[in-house]
Amino acid sequence: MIRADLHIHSCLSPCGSLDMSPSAIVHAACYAGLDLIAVTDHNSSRNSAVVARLAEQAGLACWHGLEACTVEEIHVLCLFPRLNEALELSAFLRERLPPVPWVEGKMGDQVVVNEQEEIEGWETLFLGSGARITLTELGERVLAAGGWFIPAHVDRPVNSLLSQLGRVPNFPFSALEVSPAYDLAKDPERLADRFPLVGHSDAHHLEDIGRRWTLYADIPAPGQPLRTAGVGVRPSAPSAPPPGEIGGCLSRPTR
Amino acid sequence: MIPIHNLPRHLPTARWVLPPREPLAAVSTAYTSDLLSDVLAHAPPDSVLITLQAHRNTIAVATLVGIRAVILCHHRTPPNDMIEAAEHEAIAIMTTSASQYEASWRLHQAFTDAAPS
Repeated sequence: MIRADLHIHSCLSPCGSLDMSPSAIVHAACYAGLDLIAVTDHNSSRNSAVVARLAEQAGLACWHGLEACTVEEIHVLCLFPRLNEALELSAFLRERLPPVPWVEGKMGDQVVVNEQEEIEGWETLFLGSGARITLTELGERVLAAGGWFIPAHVDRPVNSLLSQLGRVPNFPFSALEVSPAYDLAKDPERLADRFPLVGHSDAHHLEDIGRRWTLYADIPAPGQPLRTAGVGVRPSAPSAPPPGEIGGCLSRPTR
Repeated sequence: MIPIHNLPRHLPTARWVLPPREPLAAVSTAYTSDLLSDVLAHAPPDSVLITLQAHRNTIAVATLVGIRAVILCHHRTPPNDMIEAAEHEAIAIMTTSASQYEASWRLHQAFTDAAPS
């Protein structure tokens, strides 16, 4: 079975810990026994190329992408099997971010890091904003480019499909990600009738990587639907995210 | 300009969940929005935010903008982590039964009446 954690933030996300360098993430993912990862920073893939190189060296399968914030302020994982499509989407979204500059001291660091954990650059636009693109437009773009389009933590009270739209719209989402608070067995929103459900760590700190994963029989092939085989949770991990993580993605890292 | 501690007088069934640390600080305008990206881009500093967004991210944005108080409409209740963040950042939180429309209209009246003619 393949263990996939496809929602990990690096130090490029304003809410991500500065410890979340590409090399530390790859190391922690291997240590956690993951087989497939994706680093998904808010509205940007600027650390993805380094993650991809390091994952390849470590023999760890890696998808590429980001966690977009749409004009409706819905967070969606946009994942691609190839790096190029992720970088293209990252550049496209950057053009559509509101002109809110990153402010040192007030916002969490947004750093681009190389293989040696050296800071190579800073993202100057605040990445926590909603980009000027609708959920539907973004979804069509991602699916047309051969990617997977997965609304993130759909049951959360902030920045989710249900919090912003009040319902799951008719759209061919690749899957829906649910948070640890969602009871998968009872499925109170009856989501599993319509879509595969996935769970990931949404890690902002190294120790969170691999605390939650989705199982697959094989690594899903490019362009193919996601056929999941369940969601797993690390026994020592808390059953719900610690306070401060829900809706904390506009603020500085708290731990 | 009206002193921030007077704001509840102008709104129906309003009460402070977290009172202002500087009750006599004057505010002269408000901003109404439920999209935090919009608040970040357009809300004026030293204003009052009228919103439904009862969560911690609202305080993060209010801190960045320099908003002094958050007014939660339709009696929305702030979660504890929002109150803690607001306390840390010295941002007041008030709840009211009013809708965003009614709260905006009433505060606009209050600010207009208080403005020097």
